[in-house]
Amino acid sequence: MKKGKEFNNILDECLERILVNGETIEQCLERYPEYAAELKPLLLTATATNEAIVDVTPSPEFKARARYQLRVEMAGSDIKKKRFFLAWQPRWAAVLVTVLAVVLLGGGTVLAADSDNTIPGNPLYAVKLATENVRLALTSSDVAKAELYAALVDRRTSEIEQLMKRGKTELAQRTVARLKSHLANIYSLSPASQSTIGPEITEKDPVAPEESSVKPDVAVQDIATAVSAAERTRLQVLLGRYIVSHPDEIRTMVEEAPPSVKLALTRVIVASVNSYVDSCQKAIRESKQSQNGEETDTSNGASDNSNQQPGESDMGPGTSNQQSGESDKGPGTSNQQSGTSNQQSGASSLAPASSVAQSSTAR
Amino acid sequence: MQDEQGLVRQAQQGDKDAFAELYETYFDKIYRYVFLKISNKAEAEDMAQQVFLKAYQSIGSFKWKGVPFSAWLFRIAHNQIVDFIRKQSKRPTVRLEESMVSSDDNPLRTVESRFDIERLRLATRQLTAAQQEVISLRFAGGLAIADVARTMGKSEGAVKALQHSAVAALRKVLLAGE
Repeated sequence: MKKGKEFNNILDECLERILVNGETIEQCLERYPEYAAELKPLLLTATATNEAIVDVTPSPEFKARARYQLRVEMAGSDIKKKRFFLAWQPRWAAVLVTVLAVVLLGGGTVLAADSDNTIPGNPLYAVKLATENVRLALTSSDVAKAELYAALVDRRTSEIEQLMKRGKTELAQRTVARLKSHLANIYSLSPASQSTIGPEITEKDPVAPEESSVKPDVAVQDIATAVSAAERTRLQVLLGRYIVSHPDEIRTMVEEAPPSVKLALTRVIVASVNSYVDSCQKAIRESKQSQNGEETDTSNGASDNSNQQPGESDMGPGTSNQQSGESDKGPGTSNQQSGTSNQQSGASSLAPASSVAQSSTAR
Repeated sequence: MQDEQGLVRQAQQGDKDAFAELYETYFDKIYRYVFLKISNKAEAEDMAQQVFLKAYQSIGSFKWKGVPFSAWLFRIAHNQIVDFIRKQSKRPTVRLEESMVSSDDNPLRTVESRFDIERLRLATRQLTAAQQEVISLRFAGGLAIADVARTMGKSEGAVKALQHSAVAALRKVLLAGE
């Protein structure tokens, strides 16, 4: 036991001398010839381990972006007053980034960076990502945030396609990781993920009724919760759209989920897809009614030249741009817009999910 | 470079340059620590950045109580990794075949040749959680044994014993995998 303790001390001393002071393994073995046979293989493994790890460094592109983000964060916050200003920090930081970016880089540069042509590997890509972070920081409502993440998913998809065409697989893999992160953010923003996969549905309660997560909203019927419920519905529809559009991602998510949340996760998926399908059906009905109305009006020679487009008042996806003949398209068709008539603050300055979704149709 | 304690004090008083210096000192180490534990480079980069953003927001609450600043940073990183694994539902770990971890310690085979980080990461998965932590903090984090002990809340003697067993186990796994 004592010998073991002594050997542990010697091993550590040798490692310290080699890793920190730059001594060689042979020098260490000469110090402790009686332990040389036992020490040598361990020191070889330890030094090889150290060499393998030291070779790992973050990419220069990332380091530049990370430094930039840290400076922005520090510029926008005050350590001493952090508690008081905590809620305001991201916004101040975001505004500061915007101003700095425009002043230092010029608006044209920022616009150029923030385009679909700027892909990983491009020097301006770091600016593009920083711009996206600004947009996220400026977006307050969960719905608008989810829509922005949805737009970013489409952006990442486009980047992956371009990277793969150019054979840049490593960059493509990193972009896939970013895409997955956006999807996870959409999911985490969804009311279903917050309320259904909560403590109320666990392994102990595997047969909890599907409506359980909705009941608290019904119980507190004031204006605030009514607005909140409307937002939740939109989020659920949005989540449903992405579940339908990304079946492989969702399948993987379910497969990899721990048993305790698998059931709840499946319920969330089913409920979200149902909400999405309902919203699509509603949109189709309204579109048909609108078309019938126009035909009737036209045949009667009584068209009022209304500016309202079919489905324009509806907030659900697949509504406002749904044209005649497209109603037979399945859910997830990219020509559907998401919540355009009810765009939240912060989202108007962004590329909304819908516009990017439209661009993805062309791809 | 100023001493770490002085830098931390200045950073706590709002000196951004002091915090930036701490950031430059520890960023790569935190990144390696995270990278060794999760299997995704982009995630590791983002997570390392989050560690420092969180550290900056919380540095006012850091107190010198025999625990170095680096230990505090690695603790934040550790918590971030735990949260990440919980949220991502943790992909199934890649298990080496049982035959690969058998005690076929052929003395003629050596591991002194350089091996890549992926092989190392797979090999560390075969160690106990405590052994993995020692390898991560000592080699990826570059901490001295005393700081590893403070970070892990163990005695130096216990950590030295863990270091010995971890390196021995790692060697065995690497040899078996050749």
